[in-house]
Amino acid sequence: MRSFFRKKDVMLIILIFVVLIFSILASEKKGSKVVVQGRDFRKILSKPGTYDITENGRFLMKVEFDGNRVRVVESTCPLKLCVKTGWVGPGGTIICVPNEVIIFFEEKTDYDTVTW
Amino acid sequence: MRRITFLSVLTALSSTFYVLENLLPFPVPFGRWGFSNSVVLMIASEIGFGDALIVASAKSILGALFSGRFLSPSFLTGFFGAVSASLVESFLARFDFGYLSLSAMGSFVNNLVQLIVISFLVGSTKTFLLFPLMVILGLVSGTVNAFLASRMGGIVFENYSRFFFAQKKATDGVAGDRVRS
Repeated sequence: MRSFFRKKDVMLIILIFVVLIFSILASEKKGSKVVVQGRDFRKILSKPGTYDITENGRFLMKVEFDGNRVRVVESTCPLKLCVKTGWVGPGGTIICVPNEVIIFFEEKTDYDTVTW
Repeated sequence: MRRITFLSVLTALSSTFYVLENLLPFPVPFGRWGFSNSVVLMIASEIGFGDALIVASAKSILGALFSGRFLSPSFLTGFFGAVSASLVESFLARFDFGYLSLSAMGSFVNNLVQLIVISFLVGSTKTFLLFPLMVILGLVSGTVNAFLASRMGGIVFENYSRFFFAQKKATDGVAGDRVRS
């Protein structure tokens, strides 16, 4: 019978925490423009206001942007996790998996993506 | 034959967990308890690599069919996550780790593969910003699952081993390769 806890276990759990701390440190980013990206569209919101997000004429969600925060007011997805996420500041993201939409703040860089 | 019966009983148990855990609330909107993975963890650590793979894929498919989300995004993430977690757990079980770290590594790899699948579905690597949150939640539910799996392994292999394996007793050979029937 395998025991619940061995001394070796501490090693693996410390390894997981190290990866966790690195990923938290790597995810701190700043930006002022909001990008709404879906399967085949990419919209950039730079002025405050309420925007309807549609894809090929199909209504997906309503996004509100007030200058430095963003939220999803209304969505057609079943669980409404993107609405429940609430206001999100710079560095945060809202992800709606059923509609395949990501809302994030764009950084002021010259390259498209960062790999790490 | 005994092996097929044993695996199908465990698959039934696991897919029942998969359906019933939707009724339990999880404190955070993301994520779920993942009790069905404790059965996979127990098989991966006590029996071996192939059986864990069979049960992991069968429980995802059956559970998704029962809860009506077959081939949806959540099924795809759950399926690939469970399969990769079972692979990692059965590999680490060879090196004599305890249940706690097997479960923690399993949930870690499960979350990682889920994020990779989601980033393929969405088509962006921005989904990896969810990674720290998912790992912390995975450690919480992974500890609970490790406890469940250690109890379950005790019941199946120590007390009632003669019920499942009439002639062969459970042997302590190589760790992670306990029973070959």
